[in-house]
Amino acid sequence: MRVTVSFVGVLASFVGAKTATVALPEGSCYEDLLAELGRMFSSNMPEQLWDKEKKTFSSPILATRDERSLAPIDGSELLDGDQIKLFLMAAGG
Amino acid sequence: MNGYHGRFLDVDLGSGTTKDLPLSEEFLKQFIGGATLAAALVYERAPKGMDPLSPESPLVFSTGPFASSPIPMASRYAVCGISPLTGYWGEATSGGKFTARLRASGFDGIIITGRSKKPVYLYVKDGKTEIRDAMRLLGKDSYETQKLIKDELGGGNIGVACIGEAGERQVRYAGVMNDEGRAAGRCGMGALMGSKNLKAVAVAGNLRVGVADSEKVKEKAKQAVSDINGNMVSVALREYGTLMYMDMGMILGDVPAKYFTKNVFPAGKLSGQAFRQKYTIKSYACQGCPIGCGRDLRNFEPGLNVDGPEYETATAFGPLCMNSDLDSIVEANRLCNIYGLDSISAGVSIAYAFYLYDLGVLTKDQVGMELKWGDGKAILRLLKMIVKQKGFGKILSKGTLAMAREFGRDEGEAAQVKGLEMPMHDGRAFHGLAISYATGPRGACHLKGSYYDVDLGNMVLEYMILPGDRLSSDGKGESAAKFQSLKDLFDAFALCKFAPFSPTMLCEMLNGITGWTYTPEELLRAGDRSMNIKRAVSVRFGVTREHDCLPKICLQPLQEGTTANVVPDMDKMLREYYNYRGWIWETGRPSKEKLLELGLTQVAKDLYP
Repeated sequence: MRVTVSFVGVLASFVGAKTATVALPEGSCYEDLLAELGRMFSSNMPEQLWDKEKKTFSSPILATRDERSLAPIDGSELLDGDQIKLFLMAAGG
Repeated sequence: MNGYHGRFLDVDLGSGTTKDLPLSEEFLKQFIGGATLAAALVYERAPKGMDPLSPESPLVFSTGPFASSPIPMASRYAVCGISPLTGYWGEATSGGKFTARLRASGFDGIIITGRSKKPVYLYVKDGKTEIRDAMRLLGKDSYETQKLIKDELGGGNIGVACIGEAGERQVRYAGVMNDEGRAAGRCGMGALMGSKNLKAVAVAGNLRVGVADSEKVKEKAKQAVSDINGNMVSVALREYGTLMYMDMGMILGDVPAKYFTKNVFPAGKLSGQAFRQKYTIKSYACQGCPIGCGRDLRNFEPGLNVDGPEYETATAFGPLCMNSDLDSIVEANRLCNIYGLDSISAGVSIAYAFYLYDLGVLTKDQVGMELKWGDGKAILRLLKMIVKQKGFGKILSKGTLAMAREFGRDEGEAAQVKGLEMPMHDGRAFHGLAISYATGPRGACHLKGSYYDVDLGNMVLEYMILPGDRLSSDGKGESAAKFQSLKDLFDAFALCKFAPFSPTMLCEMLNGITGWTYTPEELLRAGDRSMNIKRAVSVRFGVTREHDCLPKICLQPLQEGTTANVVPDMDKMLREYYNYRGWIWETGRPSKEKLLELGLTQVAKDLYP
């Protein structure tokens, strides 16, 4: 299956891409997606963003399918065609 | 006493006299510092019916207990009084190096009353005070003023907070400037300063306060610096400043455009990345800050010192006016800084003028020019007219509420709460923000009510403030009230709002410095107390529940974007908010029981004689 990931706002500049289409085996969950994102982009990302040892984000990142509610993705399976948005959990100014 | 000098400087500019104002440890423990401590002092000195621009109107500069300590991001100071813009409680804070200099002068803060017969500035060093002639500084911009005073005093580590021409002319939303382009912008504290013929406050010295447990404080500071440096938000702020939020905020529908009637705009043109591409930017930091979100633009115009702009300013002169011309936004920010003007109130007032012109309410003859959405040159001309009090600038300089009244419009069209213009986050995008705006102690305030932080996932576990559906009003009244109390305390500690400190960490820091035994529960109570003493000040000047609302223009459903057709349920949230606060629905006053519970005995006696 294929999942599309959008790196929203400044996150894109630190990842080095605005979007990515990721191929995953059926039944994959968010952790599997993270592992794939790490494989694709970890060389770009600063250590404050990506923990190379734990293979996950080292700062809080909001992952959501729904940019209206911002409900975070839970541990359930991803679905083919999912569009995941990743937000740096920061606002203000 | 640890953590404080235990005294303010008490200045009467009318008689030209100064004296010490001793502060007891019990008083400091109750009100902590910064804007909260200032509110307690203003409450004592501002009688009902007092004109904010009258000589007796108090003006307070106040530091917090972390000032000059190793604790990072504690470089802010508060400037407070009765707002000349709103007529109610007013406060503004600014960062930089001024705070440390003020603390080193030997005082925790300064309270100023009276009006000098001629322009003066105050110089405080090592506990000694001079009131010095400022005639030659009249008409000087804020950068020149700071430089001239530092030169006159022999240079070195001198902090200067001053007004520009806007403050001298008592523009209702004039701010106070320090460290070149740092601004205590909101509520018109610059006008209050100008009304006293006080051009500046200069501070210096080498006086220190005691610390109860310096090893503990160092350990906590080290931990805090490590946390800050390890956080991606710090990296983003360092790289792009507060403009890092622009394009993300637009996706969330949180960036107001076209005078709050839209939330879709090509934000990429104004993002932090866009500024980085166009200008040579050097980051700078406030004292003791490991982030450095400040910006110096090096190639805007040769010979010009240009700061920023911050997100709020870029949005107010950008999307809110449908303007995507970077140069005009940078220049608008520069004008606000040199004249000493709140870029939020100025930007919103100008956007309202565009809106009224678009409706045909205003004409070219009235304004003195055409006003077409997105005209950056018109924005710059209007800013100068505001400061110089020329033509249409006079009414613009009084803010949106006065404009609505002047032009016979529905007051709900004025984008303000309690007379203070709306900041550049949209309550329709985060309902917890909407109730925070409606109840903010100084009016519409994103700094006390940054509920977007919560619903983006930044919870406060100690107080069970948890993320939820940002477009739901369920449970937001109480949650937002608690978050507001916590954020209000950041202005008591005089901390930067970006400091990622939990209530537990704040208590450990405070206790390490003072030797007190604050718990997170007591800290929340202190935040509630802070909110209530400020409310008591505003109640004295006429605030009621009817003032705790959002203007209609900010509650109309938007037609596009991620927040289309959703508006917050203000009544539901306000009832829940009042229930948590212990405020009386019919009057908007804190209940006697709540005041006594918070130890505000004198306020209880005054409100319930």
